Amino acid sequence: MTDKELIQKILMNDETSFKTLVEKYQTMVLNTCFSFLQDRADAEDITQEVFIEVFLSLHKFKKNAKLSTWIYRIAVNKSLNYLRDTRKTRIIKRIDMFFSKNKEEKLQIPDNSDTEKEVNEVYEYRLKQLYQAIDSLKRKQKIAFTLNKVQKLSYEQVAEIMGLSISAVEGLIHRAKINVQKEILKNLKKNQKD
Amino acid sequence: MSGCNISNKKLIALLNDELPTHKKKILENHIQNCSACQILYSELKQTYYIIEENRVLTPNPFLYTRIKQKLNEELKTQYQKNLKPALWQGIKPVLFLALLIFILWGNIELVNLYTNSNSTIISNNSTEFFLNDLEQEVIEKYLLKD
Repeated sequence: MTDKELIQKILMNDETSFKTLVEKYQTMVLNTCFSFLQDRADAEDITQEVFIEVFLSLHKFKKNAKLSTWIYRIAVNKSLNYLRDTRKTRIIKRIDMFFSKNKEEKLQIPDNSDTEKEVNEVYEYRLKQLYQAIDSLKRKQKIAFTLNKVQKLSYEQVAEIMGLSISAVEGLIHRAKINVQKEILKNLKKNQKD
Repeated sequence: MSGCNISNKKLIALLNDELPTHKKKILENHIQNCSACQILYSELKQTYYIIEENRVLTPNPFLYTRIKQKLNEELKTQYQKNLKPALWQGIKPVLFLALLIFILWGNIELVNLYTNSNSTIISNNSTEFFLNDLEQEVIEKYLLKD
């Protein structure tokens, strides 16, 4: 069933069509939300909200637009709004973690080791560093970088979702890449000194 | 140390392959001989390239059921929200009409009350009316006598 047919049937209150739409796009939405939020539970909550929004405002959807692009846009906006709304709680959580964790454990780069557990620790540490760096980016850079590098979308798709030209997206991604690497390097140097 | 600082600034350019060939060779030689820069470059590379991995989350099998439940709740609250103004819109003309009728009835009652009270006043004052008809003596008359 094509997206147009799905939309028409959902607008006629066909429940099975809505189920088909959810099943078709759930992985895409969940992973998009997760790439911004970095928390599975939060990503699942936002995914639910995205589909509710899709259902409630499907009548506003322009028929000549692409459904996946529209859903991506809702997912990105919902995730970033959630990040903005929970900023204070996340800061408090970080401060709490800082005081509860052993300082030495927090600052040291885990040694490369053969054991699976330690390998996982090193991986988790690097992942955290990476997403902290992405989190420090400006809003537009963050959206473009996450959609292109994490979600593996093409420049054309990112441009379509963000409503920008391809060259603007290229510029944003280039700057974001440099800023992410700078941030990682800064943290690594800081940890080396400590 | 200053050499390390300069090379540190170029590590990103090296990672992105944005350096001219001769500068790239110099930096690569430095990295080979400097253990601190070697660690830094290797860490930067490994941390950044995590992004290239394809990590795909599989959705919860009960996702649709949850969405449906939430959606029903949302629709219910929206219906209740919309119902109140709709009810109000329906009741408003009826209330207005009732108020108009009440005002009209009130006016009619007031007019009736006024006309009734007027007729009783006239009837009560009927003796005064006759008294008024009596011939009155002018006060000056008495004064003149004195």
